[in-house]
Amino acid sequence: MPASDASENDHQPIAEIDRLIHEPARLMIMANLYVVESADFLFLMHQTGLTHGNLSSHMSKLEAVGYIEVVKEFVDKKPHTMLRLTDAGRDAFQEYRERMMEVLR
Amino acid sequence: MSTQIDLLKIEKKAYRDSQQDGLMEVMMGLILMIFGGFFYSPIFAFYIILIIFSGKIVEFIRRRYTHPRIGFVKFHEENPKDALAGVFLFEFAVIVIIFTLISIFGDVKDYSQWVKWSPLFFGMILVGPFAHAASRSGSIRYTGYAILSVVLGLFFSLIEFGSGCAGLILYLVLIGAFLFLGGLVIFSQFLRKYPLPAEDGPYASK
Repeated sequence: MPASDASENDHQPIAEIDRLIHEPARLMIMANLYVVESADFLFLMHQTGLTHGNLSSHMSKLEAVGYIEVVKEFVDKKPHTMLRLTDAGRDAFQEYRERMMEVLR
Repeated sequence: MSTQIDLLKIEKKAYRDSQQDGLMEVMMGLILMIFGGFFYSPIFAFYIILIIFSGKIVEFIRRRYTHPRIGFVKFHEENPKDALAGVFLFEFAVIVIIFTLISIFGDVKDYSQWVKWSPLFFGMILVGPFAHAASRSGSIRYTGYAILSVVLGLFFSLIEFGSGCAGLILYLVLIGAFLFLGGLVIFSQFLRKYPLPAEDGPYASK
């Protein structure tokens, strides 16, 4: 096998890393949602330390690719946003972890 | 980066934060004091209704005071079969320990011996929920409660009391009052630490 081919294969796991999850803020959101069934916006803000705007923007990106489900509801006549990982999001996060372990092995 | 993510640590922090309001202690303390009262006088049986609705009461208070401050989280439900099996196994182990203790220091056929050792029995039973909370949260606070409940239980079992259930009643009221008052202190600190976000503020709007 030519040297360049071997090198390409060595870097294959890195190339396959999910860039959407790899971003630190989104990684925190995904990790925090992975360990629970669901959490609301405020709880995630406290857990991740992200600002309202930051969390909102990353939440939209993760929702757009179908990794998280965002449910807006009213509790005591006040708006309330619940977030949870979808099955696709759970699989993607699991795959991301395996891929990273492979890369750093 | 990912290999450095400790999911167990994240889960424990989430659980710990969700319980930081001290309401679990308040309710548990109240229940233990009611139990103590029940052994003192059957009139307290009326308050057992509080125990039945304790979960709903805590949920109601949390919806009003805790969730608007730190948010709401729902954890994955534990397998009820495993949980029940664990509880039965633990209770069985406690009964075996108490049975062994009474056999060594007294007579198992003597009812008064069972009454005498009942504070330790309750103390060991309390280890179950505290150990469970400690393992889920990683908080040393619950380990402290577990140790205290056993040490106090042993203390009240070894002291000689005149009337039958006096040791047990004192033990339940004392540990209950400790948890209840401690929980209230934690709750008031929690309210001070997390003021309510403004109605029209950015946190309230989501």
